[in-house]
Amino acid sequence: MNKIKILLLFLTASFCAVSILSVSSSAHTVSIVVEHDPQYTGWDIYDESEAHHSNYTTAITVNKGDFTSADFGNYITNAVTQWNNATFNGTDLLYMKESSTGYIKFCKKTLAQMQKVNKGNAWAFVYRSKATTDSNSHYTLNSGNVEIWVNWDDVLSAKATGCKTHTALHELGHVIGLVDIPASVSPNAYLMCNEFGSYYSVPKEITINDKQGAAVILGQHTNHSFSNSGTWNEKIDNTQHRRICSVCEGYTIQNHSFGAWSDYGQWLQVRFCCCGYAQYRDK
Amino acid sequence: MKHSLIPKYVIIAAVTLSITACSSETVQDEKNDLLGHSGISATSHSILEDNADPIYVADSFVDIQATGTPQSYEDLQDFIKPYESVNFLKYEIISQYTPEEAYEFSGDDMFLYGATLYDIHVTYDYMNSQPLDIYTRLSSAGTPESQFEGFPPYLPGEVYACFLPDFDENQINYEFSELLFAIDCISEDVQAYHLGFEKINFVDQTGKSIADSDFSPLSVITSTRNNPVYYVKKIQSDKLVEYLYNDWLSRDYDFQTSFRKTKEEHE
Ligand SMILES: [Zn+2]
Ligand SMILES: [Zn+2]
Ligand SMILES: [Zn+2]
Repeated sequence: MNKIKILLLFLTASFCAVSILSVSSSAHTVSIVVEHDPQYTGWDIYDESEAHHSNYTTAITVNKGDFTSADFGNYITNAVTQWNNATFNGTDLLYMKESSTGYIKFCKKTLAQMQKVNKGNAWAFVYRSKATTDSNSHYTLNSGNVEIWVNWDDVLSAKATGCKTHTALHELGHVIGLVDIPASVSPNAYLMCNEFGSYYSVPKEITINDKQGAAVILGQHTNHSFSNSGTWNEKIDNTQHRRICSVCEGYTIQNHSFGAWSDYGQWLQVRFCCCGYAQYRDK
Repeated sequence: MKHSLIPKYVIIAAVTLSITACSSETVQDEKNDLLGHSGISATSHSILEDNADPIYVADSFVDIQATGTPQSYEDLQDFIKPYESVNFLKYEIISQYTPEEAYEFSGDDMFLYGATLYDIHVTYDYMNSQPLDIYTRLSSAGTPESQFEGFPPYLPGEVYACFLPDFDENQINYEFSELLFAIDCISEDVQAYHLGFEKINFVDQTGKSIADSDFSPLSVITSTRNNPVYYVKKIQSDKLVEYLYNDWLSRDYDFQTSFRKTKEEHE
């Protein structure tokens, strides 16, 4: 993981102007103000204009669809339970339950059916092209609106238990609004990693990073917590730093903000930004 | 599914008939009849050169975040093994159906939102080293409005080689996308250009790639102004065919043999 945290203990003064301390949100329009390049956060989410589940208080209803407990059904049940029981920052992360009229529907598909609508083979995907959304790009809750296509018979059924557990959890992560994490960030550290191939063991649980992303996109976490500790402020270049929320690890990008000049040796003066960046000048 | 030997053709674009040098001469007249009413002017171009007059601008790109996608040639076998047999066929794109025509023809609403139907002419069966002369249909993921990045809709006259699983001339066939190659048959030395899927590498037993090491991935505008096709590898087609043949033989895959060789045999 590529999260660099520079710890500069001597820099605790309030050098950084805090421009965004809290973020407003309402039940249906969640304003995502933190940046989320997965290289820095370890999670990624759809933009507000792209289809995803509405918010953390509205139930995500899941229909096992073509599956029964004899095949993929138990893995779906496990995934729904895990997501529903997940907590973040001390409170419930979201609400998910099984329902025969659920708006999410798992569908058993063949190799042929999946190749016909996707370039390339896969174990599973959320088939978002068919799903309807409201004016906020939130999935409408009508029965079977969002289909999750699973190649069970030909491929996934022959895979290890962990792969089946992973697939059910991961696809529901997409419905929530989480985006895949590329191998350049990590091939297998998070639930939303998807470039693991045959040679990695796939993640079988919702990691803290996955929960951070889910909490942000669902509006469960909106009061971002920024501080002037060097741990949570990271230099980008000579102009800007990344100001990281210590709860979700989303960030905003700001210009450096320096403290007062102080003497540095016989000839120079120095001033620091909270991210640790130092500027020097002649005395 | 409804079958008709003479489907309604939709001729969509100015195309390069010179590329049809890849096809057998005997069918040229028939093809010209099919294309005849479209006012197509034949121009010569290489598949490595941008098309100056692309006919589409993609409205959006399909973003299917699939899980368990093959990350290597070895991973790919999970998705080949389930088929009863394998093949590797050369075909030319003849024409494209509108979504409505495709839906009317097939009854499958997939053509209204997720896939495009083409008429194709299958001309060669590489695994059995035999020429073919089969007119059939091909379904390909994506539509002109909603395309996959690097995979713009096909143009009549384009020639491809691909594994077409469960190939049946009387059905709608489909591509095994990881093994799709654009064929450049202008040069004597026929070259296959692998579309996308950088991670699927063709490596021989000594660990050496069979792809041309001097080739850098190349974007070329074909049918769509804002979605060039993306060639990631260049492989001499003989080498590619030999590779697939030997590899599939060693894995005990059955080669599909149920092809009708000529039109006459069929009629
Ligand atoms: Zn995914
Ligand atoms: Zn936060
Ligand atoms: Zn700074």
